[in-house]
Amino acid sequence: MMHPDQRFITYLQQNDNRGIVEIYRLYASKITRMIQYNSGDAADAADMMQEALVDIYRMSADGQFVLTCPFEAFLVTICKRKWLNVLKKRASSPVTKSIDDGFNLDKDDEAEADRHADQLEREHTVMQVLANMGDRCREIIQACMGKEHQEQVADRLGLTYAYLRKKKSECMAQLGRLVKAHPLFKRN
Amino acid sequence: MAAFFEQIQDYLDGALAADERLAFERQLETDKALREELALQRELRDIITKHQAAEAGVPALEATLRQARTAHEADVPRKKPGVIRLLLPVVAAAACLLVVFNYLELFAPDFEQLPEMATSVTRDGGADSTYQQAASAFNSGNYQTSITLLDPLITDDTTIVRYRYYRGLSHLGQAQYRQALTDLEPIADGPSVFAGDACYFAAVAWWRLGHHDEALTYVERVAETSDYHKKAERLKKKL
Repeated sequence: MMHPDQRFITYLQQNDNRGIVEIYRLYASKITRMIQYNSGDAADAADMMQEALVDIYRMSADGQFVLTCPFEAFLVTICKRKWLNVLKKRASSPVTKSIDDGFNLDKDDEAEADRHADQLEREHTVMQVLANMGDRCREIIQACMGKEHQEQVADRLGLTYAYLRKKKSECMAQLGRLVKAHPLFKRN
Repeated sequence: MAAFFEQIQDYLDGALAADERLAFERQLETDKALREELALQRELRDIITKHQAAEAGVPALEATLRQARTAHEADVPRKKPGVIRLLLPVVAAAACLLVVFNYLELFAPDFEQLPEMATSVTRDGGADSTYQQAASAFNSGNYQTSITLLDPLITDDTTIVRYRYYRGLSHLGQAQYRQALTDLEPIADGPSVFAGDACYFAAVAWWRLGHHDEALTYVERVAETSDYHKKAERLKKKL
């Protein structure tokens, strides 16, 4: 069931200046406290929040995404996961305190926020794997997923239509294999 | 197998003839592997299409987010504003000096400055002890020692990216750029959390070898979110 906080998703989709200022007014200080409590500083928190909001925008850009928990729970969950990844990468500052400190999320809301965050990570992973593929495959996949007709794509890339289709199918199969081999997908 | 994948793509593209489509759908009913692969391919296609379409709106959104962030930071109560006001002339003078020094390239970044090697990884006794010794050697600049210690760890467990990443960096520290690339390129091209940083250091290695095209390829892949993005941008300008 759609949560009333869906309006925050709409603000991001529409790049609504006032709405985005409201998001910062309501949640930025909370995110900052959480990050500062876990070995980060205000700049880290601002970076995490900005990245999270852009990710939410990308995930919801087609207008299909339905928020089923408070926006705060979703945003906090994403920032928390992102920050844990940063700490894991830095590794010199192991997380010793609970990163949940300061938030009392309802169990159901937490579960829904986790579900949304899982989907966001899944999409992020697919795009990351695609970005790391060889130039030719990446180019073909990206071109074929655009609005342009595939015959025009073949023309533009200097390929025959039949070869483009064959190559696209090979590249998509390779992408599928790489995605399935990714730890995040193996886990699911 | 190739036909299997071509059929899936043709089905998703709506490019199958009516009888082929019916046959494919009949096969779907009984072939679990085909159903799973179709679902995955459909998901991949939906995600890529959606993200590509969204990309056009990202710069404008980022600009709005930056504005909102700046406005929010300005609203956060400042501590000891009086002290800051008193220090303003000093800060201004320092800023002028920074501009002059920067113009003279006295602050040119050390592109090869290596990160600290983490020491908090906990694994089984033997590997852990060797890893800690390698980390100590790396962090004190004894890269040959860190290479020697990381070699057997990599032989024992080829799946741990962290070992190969730091061995690559150790080679970089030793100015052994080819060896560095042998470790760093597969990481840069892979899905690990080290991929972004490995792109930056692979670019540095290629740059040192005088291969500017290869360096550019990697430097352009350093994500904006990477700790090395600013350095990557400066290296890109240099290239």
